[in-house]
Amino acid sequence: MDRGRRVDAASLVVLRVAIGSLLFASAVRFGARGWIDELLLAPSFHFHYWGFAWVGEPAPWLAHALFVVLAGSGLALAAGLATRLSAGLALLSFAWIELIDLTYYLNHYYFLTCLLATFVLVPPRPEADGLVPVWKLWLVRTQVGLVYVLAGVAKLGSDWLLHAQPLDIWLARHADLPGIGRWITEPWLAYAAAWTGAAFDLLVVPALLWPRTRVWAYAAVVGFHVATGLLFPIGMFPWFMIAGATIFFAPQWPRVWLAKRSPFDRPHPVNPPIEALLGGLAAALIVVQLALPWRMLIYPGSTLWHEQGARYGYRVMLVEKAGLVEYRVHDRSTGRHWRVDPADELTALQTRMLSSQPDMILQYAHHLAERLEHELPGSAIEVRVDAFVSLHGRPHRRLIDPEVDLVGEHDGLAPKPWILAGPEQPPP
Amino acid sequence: MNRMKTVGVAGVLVVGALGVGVACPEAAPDHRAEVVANVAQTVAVDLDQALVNAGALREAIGELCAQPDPTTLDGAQQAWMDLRAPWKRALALPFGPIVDDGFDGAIDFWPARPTSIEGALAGGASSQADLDALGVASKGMPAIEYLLWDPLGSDPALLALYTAAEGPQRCAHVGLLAADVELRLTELDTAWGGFAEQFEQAGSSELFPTLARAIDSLLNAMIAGLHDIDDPKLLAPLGQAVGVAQPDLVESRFSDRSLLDARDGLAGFATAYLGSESAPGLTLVVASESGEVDRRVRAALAAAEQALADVPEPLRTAIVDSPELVTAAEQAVHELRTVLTTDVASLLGVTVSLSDNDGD
Repeated sequence: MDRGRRVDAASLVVLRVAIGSLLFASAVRFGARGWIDELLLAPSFHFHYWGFAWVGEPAPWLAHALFVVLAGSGLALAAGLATRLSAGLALLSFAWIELIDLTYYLNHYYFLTCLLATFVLVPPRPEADGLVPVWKLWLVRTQVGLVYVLAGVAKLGSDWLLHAQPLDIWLARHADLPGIGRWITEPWLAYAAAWTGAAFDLLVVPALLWPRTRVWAYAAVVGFHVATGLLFPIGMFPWFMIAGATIFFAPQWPRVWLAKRSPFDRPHPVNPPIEALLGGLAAALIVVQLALPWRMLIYPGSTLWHEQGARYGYRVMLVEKAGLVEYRVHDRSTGRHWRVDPADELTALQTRMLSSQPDMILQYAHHLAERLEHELPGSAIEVRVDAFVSLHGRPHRRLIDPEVDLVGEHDGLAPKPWILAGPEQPPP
Repeated sequence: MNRMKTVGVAGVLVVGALGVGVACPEAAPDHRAEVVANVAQTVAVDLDQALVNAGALREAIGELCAQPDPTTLDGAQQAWMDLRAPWKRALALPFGPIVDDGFDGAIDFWPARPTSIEGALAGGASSQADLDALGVASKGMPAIEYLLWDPLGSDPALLALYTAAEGPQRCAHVGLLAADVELRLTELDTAWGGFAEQFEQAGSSELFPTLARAIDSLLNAMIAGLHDIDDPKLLAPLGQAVGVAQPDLVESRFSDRSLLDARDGLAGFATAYLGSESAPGLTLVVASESGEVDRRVRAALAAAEQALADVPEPLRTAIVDSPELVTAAEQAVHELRTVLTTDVASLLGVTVSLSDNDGD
């Protein structure tokens, strides 16, 4: 790549317009469905991200204001108004919303956060001459492309490739679909979908970049994301990726219908040394994203089971687990024992996400101990847990050592010895 | 050369496809629609029977009031007992209007609160409108139970209350409560009809646009029904949190029908899961996906039934005299719930780790 080469910024402009518009739509959709109150304000307890316990629940007015800012900055980003500032406001509001509760962690939220950060560092707009240095285009392409590649790498496991799980379970739920329903439960289809899905993720980026395969590859992108969007409740994710994949087209591809120096282009003069510095930061962000998934290698056992190192890895649609968690409380001051059902305090969604994620189980144990010691002055609370999980239809097993007082355990990057080994037998 | 390459690649693909086809087991038949229809019908039968029995209870209370004597009191008490069985079986699946419209609380709020019930009695409610103004703790089946059994004395002592000067007021009140239960069950029966229609037409109905949604609701209801047995009925009265048994938390503690209530609840679960030969339950769906998981559920169900049967009557004394047997029963029901919540849910993808507000 000739780093000094300058290319048309049109594909970046189109990506910016699409992402800004989708951010606006996402913010409006979130509010219209009542999720601001239901998910962010109603819960009496929020699970915090590791290292971000200081991000508390916002006041109701602030929670709504964050979505207004997100919607407004999304529109401004789409229009190209103060691109860097609008991307920054979108990043700030989006990340703030995301950090309120770990329950709602999603790969595509993480992706959008990183993409918006890239937009702040490398604004998707033409420079004064209507062009951009090619390295800017490649930074954004890499940011989008790494999602597919890492998602593909994550699929290279035995459950996915040898047992077609969890696709087999998920597809069986759609056996009543008109027309294709009778085929969808055919086991060979789950295998075909699993292998095709892995191949798609691993190959789609080069296929989109190569002009001879581009049209077919993009048709596959649209077909893949529309199909998964129809079959699974994955919200706005398909639309972000369908829009994102256009960045692999030729830089000038929109010029067929987008005039040079159109109102969406909004060329902006730049200071090259500063741009290069910020570009370096964007590259560093990409390196971090590429490195983070491999931290799972320091944790023994299956990541599908213990989930250590699973977040920030673009491990998309890989696991189907069902769990049941109940806490056993012991008050050393009175010698009493009793059980606590987390569903008594948590929302249904929080309970469901907690039921199979050890760090959330630990976090709630700490909260429970604090709460009970506050409610029962003089008490000395120990919290143990009965956590049973079934992974991909296997017989349930204990996830957490029931003898360990979780109050004495701390979250961190080190392997958690109180997580028990996962099942070794294959799924049924 | 290119042609040979094409033929070679095509050959590999065909052989690969055949290999996958041969290696894979056959697709399991989809029994979900049949199971959903069977379960909806089962609940409807129990609710119909409960409604009939509620009418019988109202009539029996009328006979008691017309002539308060041991025979009519026995008749009223037996009518109350008879109403519990179909109601508790239906309540094993707390979903649809049973919970969404609050019928579970309106008909059967427990543990009974004597002060609330006595307060309503002293307040002289004399019409349905008066009853409607009262909280659920003052009425429903537990309030009728309290008024038909003497919590402290015996049947003669209770009959004395019905023949005393305030007897007519007591009679009128308990009659009103019975009529209210019958009215609520009539409303529930109607509401269930509309819900069941949507449930049975899962896949094309507004409430259940997919069969998967109906199975999700069914399984979650079965889990909730089991939770209602192991936690409030068995665990809470053991009083672990306070270190001493809590007889006041026992369901149906005046009639000592507590264990039978629990067994009826488990019977309702068993009917939904096992069904009958002509109308199978969820077992049909589970077994078609995994015989092993189905066997696990059946074994856990049998163990729970046995453990409940092992608890000596009545529960209010068993929690003091035989807490280990009550604990064993609670743990057995809990284990059944665990198998449903983990193995079955995972097998059927009921707790799909994606939801409408996420998107992986």
